[in-house]
Amino acid sequence: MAKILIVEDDKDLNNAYCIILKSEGHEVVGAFDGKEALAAVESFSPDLILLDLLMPVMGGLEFLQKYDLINKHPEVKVLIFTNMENSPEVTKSYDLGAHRCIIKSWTAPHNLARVIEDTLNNKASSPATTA
Amino acid sequence: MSDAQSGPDNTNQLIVEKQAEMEALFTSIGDGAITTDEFGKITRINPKARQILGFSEKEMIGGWFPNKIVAVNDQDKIINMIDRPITKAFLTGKTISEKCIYRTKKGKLVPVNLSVSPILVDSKPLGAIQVFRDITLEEEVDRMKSEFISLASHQLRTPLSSIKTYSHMLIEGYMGDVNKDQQKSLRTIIGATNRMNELISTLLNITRMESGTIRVSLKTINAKTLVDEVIEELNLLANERSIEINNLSGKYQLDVIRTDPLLLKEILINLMTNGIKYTPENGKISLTVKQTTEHITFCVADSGWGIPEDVQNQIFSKFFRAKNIVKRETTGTGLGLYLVKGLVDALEGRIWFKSKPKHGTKFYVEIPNGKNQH
Amino acid sequence: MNSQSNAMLYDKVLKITNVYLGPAADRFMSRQIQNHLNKEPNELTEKDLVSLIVWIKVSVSLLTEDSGIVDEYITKLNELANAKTPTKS
Repeated sequence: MAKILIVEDDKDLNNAYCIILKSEGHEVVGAFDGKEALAAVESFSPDLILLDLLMPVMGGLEFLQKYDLINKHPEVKVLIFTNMENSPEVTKSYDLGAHRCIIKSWTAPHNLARVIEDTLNNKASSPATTA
Repeated sequence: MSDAQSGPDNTNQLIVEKQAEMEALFTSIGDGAITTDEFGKITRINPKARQILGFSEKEMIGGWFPNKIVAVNDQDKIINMIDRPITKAFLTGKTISEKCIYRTKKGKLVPVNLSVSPILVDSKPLGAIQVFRDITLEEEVDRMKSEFISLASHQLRTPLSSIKTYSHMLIEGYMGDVNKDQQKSLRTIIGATNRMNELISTLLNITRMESGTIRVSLKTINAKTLVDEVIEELNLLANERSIEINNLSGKYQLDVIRTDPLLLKEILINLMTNGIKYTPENGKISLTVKQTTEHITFCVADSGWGIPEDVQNQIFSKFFRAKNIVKRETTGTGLGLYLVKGLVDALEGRIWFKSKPKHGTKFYVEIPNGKNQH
Repeated sequence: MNSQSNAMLYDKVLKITNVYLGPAADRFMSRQIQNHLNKEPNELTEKDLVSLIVWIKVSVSLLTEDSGIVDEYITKLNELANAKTPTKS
């Protein structure tokens, strides 16, 4: 069981991911943009953040910069969850410490649960900060 | 007037006229043009070249080419002369056509497409002539196209994500039990969504491939975990056709690799999807992974209809679909393998296959382990 | 002309070129031989070197502005190329 923060501006998807991950036994909090996410992490220390990139008010990259994942929260795993693969934003998110990127429209719920499990157990990949 | 008397004057006049003609020709070229002599000194520079670079004729003529025409990379670092197109033209004796970035007099960086050739008289080089075109506008258009494609794909994929996620949640019982008829309908919705997804991804990546904007983002990953996820995504499609997938990625010990996981995933999903589509019901597909010190090789093997020998050399061509496939499966675009080949090239790998009609096909994708890449 | 003496010729060319181009010498020279003569470096003959010198000169003139150095280098290559001039009857 892990503490997961979902940062996704699409309310339907945000709700869906909450249902899926709660049913896997995780403690889940949802935020609809980067600003809400920054407020949420004040009181809710997540083990993993599911982070969309393109959001209004504050996007995923700005959140990662302000959250300072690499220096202040190196133990937190960040999964970029986007529909914009092969974009400079994805590369930049790796530079900011994100662990991996998943394409939303490719990923079925059971696979999402599995990917999160693998990431929490450090099976999928090395963090972006390692040489 | 006799020919002998008029001869030298006429000849001189002809020479002057011809020189003026050559000068006018050179001046009129619509792209930038520069000539150099055998010592690398600039002998001529036309108005267009001066306009692009911002220098006057006086500032250029007689100057040493490497000092006057500064080429840089996109980080504004100067390129060594031995790597520049004009030097390559002399090293090879051939015309070299390349994209380059020049630094203007004011320090601005201008992307150009250039073509440079040795000037030969009796097969001996007397210098070089270079013609180049400012492609700032073309690059801006490419950038806008790329941004538009990213945004359009995002916009198209957003509603698809909801459809896929909620359909899966229904069929997997997150909202309560569903009966067999409801399950069947949901599988239809999921199947259609996956096909739309596939089409969007294919179109998106082919557009990127053809405009040279495929970006490779390297990550150190566990290949077996990636393969497990690929197979997980395809289980539903395989089950619909009662096709058994054998995940043999755990058969051999695998070290981590450094590559672009999304591109690799797309390659494997495409190959596996093809395998499923083009194998009769109750058939088998397997995915094996082997590794050497330098490379990792993925093999997708199916027990499908195979590829006829007479068309095997066309299999990676755009829009190509073999006749034996078209008869049985009409929804394909003929873009899948064309895209896969492009993505494999982007990862600096290679792809090949073995196939016999009615005996199935094996596709092999080999990519570098990437241990020395950053 | 046997292959051993050809190889020696290339080594001599390379030794001279190293002085002026440093580590880039081998790449510079071997490319010229392969592209202009369609030969491997160890197949270079004195006659080949004569025809290659015009190309070497224009290429090196883009690597250094000092025409004195270029002339010095080309003179040494010419000496090497003409070292076994056949005697005329």
